[in-house]
Amino acid sequence: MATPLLSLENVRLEFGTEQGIVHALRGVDLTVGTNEVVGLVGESGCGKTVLGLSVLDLNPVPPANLLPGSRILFQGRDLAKLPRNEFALVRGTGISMIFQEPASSLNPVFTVGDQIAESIRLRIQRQQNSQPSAPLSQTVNQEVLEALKLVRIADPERVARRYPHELSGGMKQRAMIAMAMAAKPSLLIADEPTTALDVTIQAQILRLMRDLMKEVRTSILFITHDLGVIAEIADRVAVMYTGRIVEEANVEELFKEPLHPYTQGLLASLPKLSELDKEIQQLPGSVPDAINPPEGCSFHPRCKFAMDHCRTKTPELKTIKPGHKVACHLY
Amino acid sequence: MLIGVTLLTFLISRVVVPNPARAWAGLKASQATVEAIAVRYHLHDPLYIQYYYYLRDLLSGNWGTSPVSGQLVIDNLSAYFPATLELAIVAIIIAAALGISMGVYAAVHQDKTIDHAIRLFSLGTYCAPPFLMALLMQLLFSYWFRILPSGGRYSPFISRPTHITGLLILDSILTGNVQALASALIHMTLPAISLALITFGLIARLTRSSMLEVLRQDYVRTARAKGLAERVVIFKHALRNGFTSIVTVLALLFAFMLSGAIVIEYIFNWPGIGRYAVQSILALDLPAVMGTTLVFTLAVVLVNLFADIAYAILDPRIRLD
Amino acid sequence: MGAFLVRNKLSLAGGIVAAAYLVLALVVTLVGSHIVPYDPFVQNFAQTLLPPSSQHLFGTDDLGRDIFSRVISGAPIEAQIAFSVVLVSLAFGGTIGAFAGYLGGIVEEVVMRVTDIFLSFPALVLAMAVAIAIGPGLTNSMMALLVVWWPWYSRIARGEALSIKSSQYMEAARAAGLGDVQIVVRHILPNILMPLLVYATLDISNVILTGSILSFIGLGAQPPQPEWGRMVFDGQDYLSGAWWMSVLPAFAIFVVVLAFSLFGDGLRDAFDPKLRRR
Repeated sequence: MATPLLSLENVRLEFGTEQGIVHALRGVDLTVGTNEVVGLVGESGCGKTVLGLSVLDLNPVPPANLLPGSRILFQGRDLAKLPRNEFALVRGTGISMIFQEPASSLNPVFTVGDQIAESIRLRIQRQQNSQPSAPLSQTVNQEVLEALKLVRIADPERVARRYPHELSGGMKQRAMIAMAMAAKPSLLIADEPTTALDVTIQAQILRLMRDLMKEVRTSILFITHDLGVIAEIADRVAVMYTGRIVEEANVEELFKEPLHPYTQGLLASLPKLSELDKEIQQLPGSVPDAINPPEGCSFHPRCKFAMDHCRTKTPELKTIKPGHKVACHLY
Repeated sequence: MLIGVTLLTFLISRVVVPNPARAWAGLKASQATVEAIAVRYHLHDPLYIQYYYYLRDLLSGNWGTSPVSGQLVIDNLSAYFPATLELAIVAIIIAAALGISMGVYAAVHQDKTIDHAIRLFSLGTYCAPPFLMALLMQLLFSYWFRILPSGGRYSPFISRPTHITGLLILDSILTGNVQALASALIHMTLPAISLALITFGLIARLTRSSMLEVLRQDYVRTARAKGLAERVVIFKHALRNGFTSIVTVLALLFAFMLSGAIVIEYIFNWPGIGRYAVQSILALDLPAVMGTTLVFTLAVVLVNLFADIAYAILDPRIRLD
Repeated sequence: MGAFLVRNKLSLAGGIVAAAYLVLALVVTLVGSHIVPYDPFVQNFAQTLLPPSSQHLFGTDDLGRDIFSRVISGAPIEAQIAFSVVLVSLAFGGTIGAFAGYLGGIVEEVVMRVTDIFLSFPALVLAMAVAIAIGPGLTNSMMALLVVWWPWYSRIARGEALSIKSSQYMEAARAAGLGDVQIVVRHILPNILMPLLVYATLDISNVILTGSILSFIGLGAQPPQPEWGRMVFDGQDYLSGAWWMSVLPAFAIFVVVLAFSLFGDGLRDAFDPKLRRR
């Protein structure tokens, strides 16, 4: 298999807070290959956003602390070991990120066009390592318009001159995507990009991202809590629970044959049109406290298959079938 | 708003004063003069008529005659105005440069030692009464170290540059008069620094809290995610958003600075409106004091107006309203 | 809250100094000048302009008076001015603002306009104008400061009253048939007291500052009263030869203002819901 684009190995991260140390990531192993969409799914609080931010070192550093032994390999290099200024070079043109709330994530005092142009100029300057000269504004403006067209915005000239607060939610999100894609990254991390949008707009954005993926060949790490969205857009899925990956498989495989009890619970709790007469099954209990997670397999308090050694021994993520990994003592 | 301001000054000068005619005529004036003043200013008429004449006088430039100097108040004010303007401009530039840079630095290094040091220093200079700063500076630099003059605006031994704007620094630059420029700058140093020290603390504190707010915002995170250098993130993305509150602060500060200027000008014998105000108070010259009150207040109102306009220019979200 | 103040050591230090100052002022008011080494009013031409020494901690002034004794005796004056001005402004401005906010309509409009007019004057400038109109003197300067200070409380009170006005609690009071005045007095005023008091603590240092400047320019307590601002002014001419005459009283003002500021800052942080870390 070709070297994966992004490879996370044993990533552990904690936050120092007044109530105690929050173990946000407790040994995450995940890979994203070239040209694929990996969905990262989990309930709120499982650490998926923190994971996304960790790849780009965007967690605020006094409280956050990446523990030694964590490896974040991007195109072969361990990002965790890079000094800060070299890390900055990866951001934008290597790996890019879009966020959940486009309204607050875009700078209100600059036009959309200006903000996209920033990404473009940055990319051009990094490419011209030997002779950094300011790119022609004509070239940049042209590319801004192209970026906007790429995200299917009609009338890009007008939109480029607008400020973020003058655009609708869907338009803002497209602008964010345009800004992220303008740097031509190899990997795009999307943190709940559709959660704040109306359902119809959600569908449009998802379709847009799928098309983009085919056109531009950027891999996407798509973070969400919504299994329906995962079904639409992902090639592979990783399920996350209290800071660890508990299952990983191709998207069809996961929906057809979920192996981990947590995944099974998640899928069972989705209302299905074909089974309207059945009651919605809820997962018992609630997400555990990240400061004091349960010992052993952290899901054991809620698991109906829990055995004795689930309480003491943490299961490892093992390949059960080709392309399908689970971390559970049942297997 | 301006009507209100003039109304208040009117009330103070006619109603609050126990014996307005006497106050405007001067303590040594004869009864006849007092009566003449009373007639001229319509002091026997009902209040609203008095106010009408008061406004009319103000607008036509008749701000009264000083019983102490015998000169028209408006002449004195316009003579002293450029000096105060020059001092204020230089002081604001220094204060803003110092205050904003320290505020940003403190915000970026929040809770570290330097942050606490800056906050303490800002608070300390703000709390120090203006005369403490001014006197200490005078003591140190004029009397003990003898490197800077203790007062005045320029050396009496050098001829003044031709009067173009009344701002000595500007005039000497425009006429190429290096000696005058040097003299003006040297004399400006202590008063400007004293004035700046008093006011910069406020700017620093407010810049810091404004930046702290901004640095917490999502769009700052986005800017970092785009790969922009940290310097660009702070100075282009964050600071630009903090500017709006900084502008409001600067306007607020202007009022504070004028109050400080009154003391500073007096101590350094700077021939501006502030010194004129103190001299008038010491001489119990009511028309002069009311004149300076009006000038200062009008200046503050104007500056606030400019600040509102600047605010709209800086923050695109407000423009559409 | 106590825990917070202890964490914020500077604020606590400020509070201690401020309290010490107040105790001193109180003692001097009650006991008079007996506790000071020298009589603050007696002139002694054999001992003029002496530098600080073990006999004269702060030196002597141009009339031979011991400056240390004068500074101590003058301590209550600042406190008097500050507390009277702040308390009366709070009472007067707060009440007016509360009524304006609650009653709304034309009353609110008028009151706020008037408040705004007063607020457009720089504090010192307005105080100067009023003080010179009514003449120099300690009580007169207090009145001048009052004129300048009440609008700040009016504005705060009105803002607070507005936010309380629409709460459910008010609906209940109105439904119970209470008259407007009763509602304001019994329900609104006690609730806005806390934010007003927090602001007042911070304000004390501002009043002392402005008041001392007023005295400096001759509008406050008149000689031979040992008022600090005035003492600074008197010592100006002797700055090169006898710096202690001006600098030490000025420094005293600085220490008191700083103490109240630090304490007020800490108090405000303790009460500000936004800043309270969970």
